[in-house]
Amino acid sequence: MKDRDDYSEYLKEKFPPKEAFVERMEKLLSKEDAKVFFDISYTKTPSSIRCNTLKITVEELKTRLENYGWELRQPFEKFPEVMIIDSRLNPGELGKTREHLLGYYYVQEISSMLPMMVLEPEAGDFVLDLCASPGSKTTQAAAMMENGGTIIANEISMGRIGILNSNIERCGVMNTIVTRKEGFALCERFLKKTQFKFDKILVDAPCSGEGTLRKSPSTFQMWNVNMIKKIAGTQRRLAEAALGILKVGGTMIYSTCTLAPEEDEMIVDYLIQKFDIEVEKINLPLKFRCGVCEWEGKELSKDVEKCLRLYPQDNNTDGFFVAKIKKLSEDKKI
Amino acid sequence: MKIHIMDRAKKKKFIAGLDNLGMKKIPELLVRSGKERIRAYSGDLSTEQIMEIWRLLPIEGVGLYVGKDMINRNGIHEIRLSLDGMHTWKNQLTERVLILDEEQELNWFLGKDVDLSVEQKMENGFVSVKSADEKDFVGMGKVGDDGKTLFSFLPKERRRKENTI
Repeated sequence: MKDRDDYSEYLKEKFPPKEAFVERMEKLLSKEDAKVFFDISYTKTPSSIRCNTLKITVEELKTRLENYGWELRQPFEKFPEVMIIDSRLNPGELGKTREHLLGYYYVQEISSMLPMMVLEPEAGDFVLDLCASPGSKTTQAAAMMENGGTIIANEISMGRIGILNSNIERCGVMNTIVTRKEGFALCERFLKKTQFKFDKILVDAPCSGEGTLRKSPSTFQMWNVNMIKKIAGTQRRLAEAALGILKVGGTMIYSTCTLAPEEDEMIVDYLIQKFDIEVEKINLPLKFRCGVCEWEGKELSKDVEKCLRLYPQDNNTDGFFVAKIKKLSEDKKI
Repeated sequence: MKIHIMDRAKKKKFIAGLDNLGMKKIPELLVRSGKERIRAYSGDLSTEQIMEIWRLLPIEGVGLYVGKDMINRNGIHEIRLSLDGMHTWKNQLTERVLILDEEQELNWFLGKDVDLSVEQKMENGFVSVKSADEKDFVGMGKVGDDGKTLFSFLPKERRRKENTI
């Protein structure tokens, strides 16, 4: 216990939050709740894994890992492949087991599993994962699709393509085509040069990372409002372009690992103003909060309330944002 | 990445090259990428649709890397499966299966070549390697000409750096 306290104190000293960040979080939450948010941000998240059902059954994997003396918990009845490891592991232990080397499980934070749990891809679907690396959500989707249908897993960075391909291989994913293109340009090409339209799209947009402070505390240092505004522009372009290649009746998930409304609800609000879409209510067995409808004096559409806001203190996870969007027609409002 | 979708005859030839391991059929589409890498695609897109996407975008992978079809250093044609290719068709891998003992398995996962015991001695060539508890295929190896050494093809990213588990 002392080790954990020491670790937190060390991080607090090394990476203090910037004043403007504290102020924003206090506006979003309350003074007291913001304190809880910052306190938990200096602790580690519990270890969690996702059983790769393309290679092994949940029961078999559970038995094997319990034989290592690991205490496992399956928090979701509907998603038994998700497991939290309650026992304390040695550094690197999760990645050294035979089962990990053979691709029987994927080390993945619970919050990062949410977009695919909401998107629910099935065999037969034509799915686009627009910002796919390192591949946690692509491999999760492939397992849900039982290697049927097709996933286009796109990534702009050559370096990150290597990681994506490596994870796809380790997990035995066979239904995926990996492409390397800037996300906006990829959507434009699909739209202008082909008849392809997607049943389901995930835009897990690059973001300022306010939700991932627990695993990368250096984000405290990098954080600044200008960066948030700059990234928001990219996110809007990506989400807007992706909607263009979604089938009518299809579903798009817009998600980030940040809690800044400029990168979350305000992007969704922009889409609501511009496209004929519906934001759908999300049902997941987790404690989460509604989207914010007002930020910095700007009133947003009431519909953004249906978005999911996950704070680290609510479920002992990372922070996350998820919006489920249904395309109603090809019409544009403006 | 250049891709070439294998026709029925080429696919048959690839499967025939794995016949000594027990492989009889591959239901997935096989794609050659680069000079020697073979990939398997299980999705719904047709050959024409895949090629349409290939013309549209830079493709960095189609399906799963399942093996190599190549000419080795000695000029001999060889076909071997990747670890994940083995997992995909594990039920067919019934011939030339070599079961490691626990110490050999530890060395295997460090990427080391393995000395075989007298009981394990096998004719040279590729073998499907199984873990000591016989539960998992842990990769493809090649038994040397003397029949006593098992050469490992386990990729670096699937090895342990040290024996700590």
